Order: sequence, then C-alpha cells, then structure tokens
Amino acid sequence: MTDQTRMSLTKGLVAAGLVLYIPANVLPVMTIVIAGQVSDLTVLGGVEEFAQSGLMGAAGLIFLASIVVPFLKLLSLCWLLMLHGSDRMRPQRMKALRILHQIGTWSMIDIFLLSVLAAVGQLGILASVVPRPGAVFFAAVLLCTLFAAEIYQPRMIWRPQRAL
Amino acid sequence: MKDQDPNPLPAEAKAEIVPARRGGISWAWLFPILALVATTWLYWNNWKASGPEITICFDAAPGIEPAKTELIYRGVKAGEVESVALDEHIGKVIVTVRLKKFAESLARVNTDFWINQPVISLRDISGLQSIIEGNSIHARSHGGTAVQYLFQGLPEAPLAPMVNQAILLNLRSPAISYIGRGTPVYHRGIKVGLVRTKIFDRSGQPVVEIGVAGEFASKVRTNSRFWILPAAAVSVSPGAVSLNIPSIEGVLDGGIAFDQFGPDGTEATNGATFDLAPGEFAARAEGPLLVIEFEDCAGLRAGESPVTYRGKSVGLLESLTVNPQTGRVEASVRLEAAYAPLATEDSSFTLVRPHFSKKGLQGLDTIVTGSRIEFEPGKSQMAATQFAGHEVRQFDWNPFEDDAGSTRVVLWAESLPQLTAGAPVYYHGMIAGRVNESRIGENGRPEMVVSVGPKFREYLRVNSRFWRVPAALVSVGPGVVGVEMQGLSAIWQGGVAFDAIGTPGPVAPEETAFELHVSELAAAAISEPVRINFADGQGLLAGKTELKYLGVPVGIVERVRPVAGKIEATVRFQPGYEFLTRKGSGFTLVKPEVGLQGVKGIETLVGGIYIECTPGSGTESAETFEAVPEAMPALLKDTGVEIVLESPSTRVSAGAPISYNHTEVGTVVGKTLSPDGRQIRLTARIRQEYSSLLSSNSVFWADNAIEGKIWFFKVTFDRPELVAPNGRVGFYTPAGAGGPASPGQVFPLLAKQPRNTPQ
Repeated sequence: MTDQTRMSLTKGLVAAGLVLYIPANVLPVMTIVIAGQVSDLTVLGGVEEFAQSGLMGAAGLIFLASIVVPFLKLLSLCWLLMLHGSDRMRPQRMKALRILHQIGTWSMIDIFLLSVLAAVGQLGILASVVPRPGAVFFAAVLLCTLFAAEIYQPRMIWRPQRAL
Repeated sequence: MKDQDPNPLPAEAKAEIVPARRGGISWAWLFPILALVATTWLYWNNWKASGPEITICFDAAPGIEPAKTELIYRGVKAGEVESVALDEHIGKVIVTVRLKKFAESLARVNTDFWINQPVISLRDISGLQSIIEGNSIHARSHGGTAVQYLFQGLPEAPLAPMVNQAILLNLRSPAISYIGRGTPVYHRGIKVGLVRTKIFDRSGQPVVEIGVAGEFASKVRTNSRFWILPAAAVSVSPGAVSLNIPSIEGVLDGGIAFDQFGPDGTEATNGATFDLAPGEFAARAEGPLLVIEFEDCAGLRAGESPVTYRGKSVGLLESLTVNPQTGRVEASVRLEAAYAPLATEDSSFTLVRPHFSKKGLQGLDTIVTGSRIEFEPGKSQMAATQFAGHEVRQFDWNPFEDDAGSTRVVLWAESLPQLTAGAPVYYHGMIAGRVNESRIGENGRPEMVVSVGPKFREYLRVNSRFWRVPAALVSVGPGVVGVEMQGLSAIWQGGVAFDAIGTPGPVAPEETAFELHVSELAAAAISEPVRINFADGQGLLAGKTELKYLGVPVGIVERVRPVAGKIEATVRFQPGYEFLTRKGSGFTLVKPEVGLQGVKGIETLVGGIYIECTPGSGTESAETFEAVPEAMPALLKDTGVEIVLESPSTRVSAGAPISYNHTEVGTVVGKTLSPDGRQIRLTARIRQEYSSLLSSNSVFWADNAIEGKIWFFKVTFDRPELVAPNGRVGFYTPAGAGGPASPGQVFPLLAKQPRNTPQ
C-alpha cells in the first residue's frame, strides 16, 4: 500500500467515523427490560442512568470510555491529517499516534461488554438486554478510528511534504 | 551505482517515471458515503413509520412518561407519548402522542382514549399487564371519518374496550344494594350487558344505568321487566334444596336480569327508563294491586312471601300495613300477568303456616320457606281488588297427649339423641309414629317414650330393633359420597326408625322397653358376639367401625378393649352372615395405605377404617379369632402352587408380591428358618393360572432395587421398604429345557436380578 492510498483511506475512514458518530450517540444502543420496564438506552442515556442511581464512578468511566475517548480519537486523527506533511509539532503528533494505538487495543471494550450483557442478561420475563441499531453505529465508529489509526503510519508524520 | 544496471533492459522496456496523478477521487471516500447512506436510510425509515401527532387531555395522567408510555390499540403498539405537560390553568394534563403510520386512522373523531391502569376488584381484574409494564394509553376507534388531532381522554377504562354499540337504559329502584359498575346484565341466562353507573336521578331516587350490547338491543322491549339476581339463590322445598348461582362472576355480586312476561312489546329506545324489581317473582307479578285483610300477618314477609295457586307461585306479597281503624293487617299483593284476571269477587286467599295436628303435619314446607298465601280463583267474572283473607287455624297440639289407638313403647340407650317431642318414628321410611317425651327411667337410664300409630301396630314386634336416623345420612363408598336426606322434618333433627330383624316375633305389648341403637347397622347386627384380637387396634371405634365382606357392610364393632397386650374387638354380624364366624375366617383391618406400589384403602380416608372379612373353610363356628395382618386377605383367597425359596439372607417377608416380567403372579406367604438355621425359607405361592410359568429351571431373585437416572448416571437404591412394604420377588423361566416344577420344590433366591433375564 502506498502512503498515498494510506492517506486517502485514513481520510475516508475518519470522515465516515465523523458521520457515524452522530447516529451512534443519538440512537439507542440497547434496550433493557427489567421487570417489564422497557427502557431504550443511548450511550449518553446509560451514563445518565448510572449517574442517577448514584454510581458516579461508573457513570464517569462510561462517559469517558464511550463518549469522550471516541470523540477525542476522531479529533486527534483530524488534527494528524490536518498537520500531515508539515514539519510542525512532529514529536507531539508522534506521541498522539502512539496513544491512539494504545487506546485502540481497548476501544472495542464497550461493544464487547454489550455483547456479553446481551448474551447473559436473558432472564426471561425478569430482565433482558437487547442490542439496538445504535450499537452497530457505535461499533462502526470505533472500527473506523481503529483502522484509521492503524493505517496512518508513524513514518508518514516524518515524511517531507514534497514526497506526496 | 545501482542505477547502472549490468544487464540493461531493452529500450522498449524502459519506462518513464511519471508523478502520481493527483486530484482523482480515491475509492476510500466510499466509506463516508456508505456511512451517510446508512444513516439517512435509518432516519428516513423512522420518519416514514411515524404518523401524525395527536394531543389528548386527561384529568390525571398517572404513570405516563414521555418516550416510554405507549399507545395501545387492539393490543398493538400504535404510538408513543412524546410529551406530558399541564395546561396553563393546571387543570388538565396534555399528553402528546406520536402515532405510527399504520395507526393514522386513530386520529379521527369519536376515538376514545383512556389510561389503562390495573383494576383489581371482585368482579374483574383488568390491566394486569400495566402492573408489569407500567400504565399505557389505550384507544378505541368508532370508525369516524373526519380527521381530528385534539382529544378528550376518558376518565376510566370503558367496560367494553373493543366495541361500543350499546344502548343505555335507566333502571329505577328504591334500593340498589350490591349492584355496581360492571355487574352483569342477563337475558334468559345470557350475559348481554353491564351496569355502567349508579347515580341519583332528579327526584333523588337511585338509578342504575346499564348498557346492553348492540346485538342484544332488540331483546329489550318496552314491557320488559328487570329484576335483581341475588348473588346465590338457595331455594328450599320439601325433598330438595337447590342452590342456584347465576354464574361465577355473579356469585360475588349477583346481577340484573330482564325478560318480558306478557306479549311482546315494541323495541325499547336508547335511554328508556324501567323499574328494577327486587326479585324474579316481583318482576313477574305485574297485575293490579290486590289488598287482602288478615287478622295477623305473623310469618309473612313483604317482598318475599309468595302467593301460590295450587302450590305454584303466581304472585308476590308487596307490602304489609296495619289499618289502625280496623286493627287488621292489609296485605298488598300482585299476581303475575297471566293469573291477574283470575282474581275475581269470590276468589279466596288463605294464609298458610306450619300446622301441627293429630293427623299430621301440614304446611310443613312453610317452616323453611316462610308462610305463603294460597290463592283460589272464584267463578265470578267480576274483577275485584279487595278481599277478606282466610286463615288456617293454628291447632294446639300437645305432643304429650296420647294419640288414640297408638301404642306407647319405651326406648332406652346409654345416651339419647337430641330429639324433641314430635320427631318422627319411621318404619321402612314411612312415618309410623312420633317421639312423645324423654325422661330418666326407674333405673336411672335415659328413656324416650315413643308412640306408634295404630296402622303400624302389628309391625312392632318383641324382637324389633330401634335405631337413630341421623339428620342427614352420608354414605361413603369407594368413589361415592352420597347424601341422603330423610325428609324435610328430619333435616334439622333426625328421627328414630324401627324394624324387625330376622324372623318377626309376636307383636310387642304396650310399654315394652327397647334398646335404641346408634345406627341401622348396629341394630341389624344381632348375631352372637365374636371376639377378634388385633395386634394394633388403632382407629377401631365401638359402634362405628364396620365389618365388610366383599365391600358390603355385614356387621359392626360393638366393643373395643385391650386384653393381654392386644386389642379385643367384640363384633356382631347381621343375620345371614353367620358363615363369617366359621373357623378359619380371616379378619383384617383396612387402613389407608400410600406407597410406591399404589394407594390402597383410600375410601377409608372418608369412610373410616373397616374390618375386611374372609370366610373360613371350617364347618363349626368359633368365638375368638386372631386378626390377620394386612395383605393377607388376598393370599387367603389365592390358590396355587406352593414352592420354597431359600436364601442365606433376605429382607423379603410374607406378603411380598412375586412378579414375572412386571406382572404379579404370586405372593410370599411365609418366612421361616431352615432347620439348620443357616437359610431363610420363604414359602411362595404362585397363582394357579400362572403355574405353567414355573419350571424346574426357574430363577428367583429379590427384586428390591429402585432404579432411576440422575442426568445420565444410573442410580440404584436397594431399599425394599420403598418398593413394597414387604419387599418384592422377581421370577423368570428361561426358555429351553427344564421339566415342570413340583409343588414344594426348593429354589435359591438370588440377591440380585441375574443378567440373562429380561429387564
């Protein structure tokens, strides 16, 4: 893969991620039925739910992991793409990409948790957890950022502009 | 340099280096485009499925939450609540609902909306799912055509959530007790409507508003009569007590019924008003008001006492008033339409009350049903409304006075039943006399003097036996619980019956003393007493426990007492069953027994334990018997081939069944030790019809194991007491050689089922 294809792929994926980020946060991620009470939960709704039940720690964690981190990932990818080819803040960009890679390892944890929840949380009429379309969009956002960060190589930061 | 290739390529293979083409759109942009398409498609789909927004005003909207509460139509989610707010005067709740596309037609005039809440009352339980799922808004469409977006919600769920083609009627009544919202309305037993509300009309009289379903509306006629169905009607008449329950839901709060009794009227209109009668008789009685004068009205009840014509109820007493001038009672009655023309000048009305006389009891039914007015139509054609009532004069009957020609006899017992003077004395079910008085006799024994009428004089013999007839005889047998009532008068006190048992003796003279037995069976048991010794006499009751032969009661236990560590029961048999006292007869106490093998003697749970008798083969009779332990009666009847099973140690004991391929073919009848004491010898009896299965190479084993499966592990319990009380013996004859077995042949009893036998 040439660096050029890498570049355009990264751009495309980041753009797709930005588009998908909206339905991922607006649409419900899952439907929880507890004792007949049906509640559709969006990601933000889930955070709210936890905050209301007093679990501030959990609420903060989910807020960070599911909303802030993906958003920051998209934002930093945009920043990387914007500065691509220039020689400014190269060490910082390098650092950002490294962090992106490290976080990327954990980014699917939400989806993993949801799938576990949906599989385990089938307690008949007592409680059930059903994944909703929002989860697909959410997973798609994560995949986009994941691949974008993988495809954008560190050496592309150091490459002089004229090479492109 | 590297560029200087030692093997230069041919000139045509040399390519020019061209910088990459820039500005072309990369296929990578397919990703964001796909994402856009997917998102748009989703939103568009969502938008397409949503219909118009409607607004419903409620007085109260408990449990309604935006984005959660659903609008349900015919059980299907037809929309979702978008917002809940109060109006500016905070007098109403305004709920906006986003309808689904397919439910667009709910936004039409006349659609009803209400909040479905759990309703739990005696009559109905509705909205149960709302307990679990939370309240929801329900809708009912009436097929309106004009579009409407603003609705007024109903304050409570309608009675018929599906359809509403009902006509409304008002029923007036001075008092409406237990009728309430939802009480069913019946027409000839079919539920045709429901009570909607209970309100007061302008004059302050309570009015019941009922709705009759559209398809039954034509059944309501202008001359229909409505009446209240009581929750449960018990009607008592001589020889019959009947309980009449309109329906299960009617058990709790009754209902309203209507019908028309005269000629068919025209169809009633919506909103018509009717009178609600307190009962069916009152509803039927619609003739002109007749006033009858009586001297006193004791026993009559306004609104309940019937007017009868030759025993048939034809009208109802509506009210009773005392005329202060004349000092007489005026009874206002109404007759049913068909009988009203019969009330003419010379008709007579007679007050019927319970009446005792020397000749017998009259109007006995009125003791239970209350007094009634007997109506006798006259011959005149002139209709009248005022009548002078007659009364059957009450007779002063002295029960202690001697009835002419009757015979007085004395009955004695250890304790007398609670019978008052006048209680009947039966002979073969006929009233032959009555109880006169109870007293303490000369020897301090309670006595009862009864008189037997002259007609029955000749049936009273010196060897007649008297017994008590309980108020209600309950006879119990396997599968039968029967209730037998000895006439109405015996319902509340019972009586005394007599009969000659055995060969009748000479006619008994006046003042003969008889023993009063507790029951017919005890009276009939006249044989010589026989003593039976039981090891365990639990449940034996003197005077109660019966002896049965082939299930038929043949005698009774007269006395139970412990003798030398055993229970000695003295029993007597009815005539004709003396053969059961022959030597060798067997007696077994039958008790309920529940085991894995089945349930035995279950009828004794209700009927009490009894003693099963088996006749012996001896010729002379004996006086004392030893009771046989359980399960033996069956063995005693069995005949068959006896063989001996030998085993060094076994838990099988007498009474154990012997089965061949899961079929019981015999029984173990005895357990002894072999002469040297090393072996246990079981005497087994194989039934005659199965004796052909027995062969000299037959195999016997103690079949005491219960096998089961836990998951896929086979589990075996060796607990004979679980299998059968005495254990069980299995037996199999392999095919092939082996001569016929001889009676008394000895077989080894294996501890386990051999492998080569069928499972």
